[in-house]
Amino acid sequence: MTSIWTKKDLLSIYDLSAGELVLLLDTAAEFKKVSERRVKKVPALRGTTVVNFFVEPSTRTRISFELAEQRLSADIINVSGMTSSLTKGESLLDTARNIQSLQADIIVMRHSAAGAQNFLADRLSCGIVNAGDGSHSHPTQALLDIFTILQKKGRIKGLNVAIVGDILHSRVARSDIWGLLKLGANVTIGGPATLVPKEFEEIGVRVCHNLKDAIEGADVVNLLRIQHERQKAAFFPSINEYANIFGLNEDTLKYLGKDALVMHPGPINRGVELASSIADGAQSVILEQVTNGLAVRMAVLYLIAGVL
Amino acid sequence: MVAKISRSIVSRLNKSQIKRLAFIGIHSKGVPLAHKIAEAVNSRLGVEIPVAHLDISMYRDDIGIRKTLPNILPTEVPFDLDEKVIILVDDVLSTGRTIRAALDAITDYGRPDLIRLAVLIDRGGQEFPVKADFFGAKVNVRKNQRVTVLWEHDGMPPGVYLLPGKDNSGEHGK
Repeated sequence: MTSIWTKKDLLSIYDLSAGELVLLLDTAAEFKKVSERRVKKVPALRGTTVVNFFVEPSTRTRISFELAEQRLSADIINVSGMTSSLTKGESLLDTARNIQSLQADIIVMRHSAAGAQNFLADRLSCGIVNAGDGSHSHPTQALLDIFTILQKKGRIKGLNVAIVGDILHSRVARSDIWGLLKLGANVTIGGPATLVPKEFEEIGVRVCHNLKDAIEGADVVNLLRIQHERQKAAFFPSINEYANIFGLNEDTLKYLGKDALVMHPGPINRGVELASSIADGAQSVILEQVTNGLAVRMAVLYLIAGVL
Repeated sequence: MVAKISRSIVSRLNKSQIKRLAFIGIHSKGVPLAHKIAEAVNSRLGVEIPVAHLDISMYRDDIGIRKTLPNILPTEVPFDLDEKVIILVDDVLSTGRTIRAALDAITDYGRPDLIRLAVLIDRGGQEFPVKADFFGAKVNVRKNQRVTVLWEHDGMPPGVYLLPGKDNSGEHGK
């Protein structure tokens, strides 16, 4: 059921068909092999210029994209929000137009405003890759999560996947949910009612407000960080209370089968959503997620460069 | 034609080279051909020659020129390439651009001592300095014709077909 890739932008998992998801995952599997060879580089994006335009801070995603671009032999420019003319009052569109005028072929962009990348994708001819926009979307994170599950479990369809934590503010959760549903997984979200809205039931996920119900029988549990930076109001009484009720630790691990995967998009707040012993334990695939992120981002850039 | 190719490979390589021999089939049509040639060599010599599968998409020279890219098929190189004697296998030799890409890919995996090219059909029209060392047949084909090789599993009578349509350049992966 693979498709042919025709999109110049990757904005959201929601925009992709199941066939396009399968194509991305298959392509990523081939790029993962490149990183296992003696020469970890291919000439696919020779002559292509990629601009990493990170208006919101990021380390792991930016480094992952930058390494992916280097391994594809692209030319790379890094622009961060703090050092760009955005701080002098230039509009986002003007900054982006200037970047495009330097013959940039692809802009990889992170922004704190949901929809910023969609806004630019409609107005620029270069490719736009969304590296995270506010609480809305983070498609390459969802792809690397799904790719990791697929490599470990051999399938997505029919798997029970629990996502626990701050769903309300999480672009990772939104992206994971759409991707997993499109590929036929059963998705459960869990956490305090203030962070896990009942409305999500309308798109076909199970909503739980206690940890046991959420993760019992799950094949995969993906724990999300409490996002202090996006929370202006108090959504729960204290970090300690959250850790006691919703944290995965040695006591609550028993609800989970021995074969279940423990995932986390990082950065981890050790001892809050996830105990250190489990983050570093046998069921954890957290560092493999990071490795797979590179393969997935190479696949995305390669497919987009192919249609520009 | 497969028998002819395997016979020439065996007769033109010395003992030490046969010991280090490995086949690399280029996706998609070179892969089944590589296995067939390997089987013929194996039964002739009573050996077990390894076969690798190579997709050259990441090494193409027309990324961003073509409207769409062919989907990448699985590359499997189950052996170390250093000091090997490699027979690179594709179904049809046309412009030579696929072979250029394959040579670049192979050298990123290791450093073979020798690489030779085997094709079922050499259709002429090379644009790069590439020639087939082993071939089933040489055919002069016009630009507006394409050579298609079909195997048993393709669901049509197996054989080499000369069809009207675009030439063979860049047909890899379809």
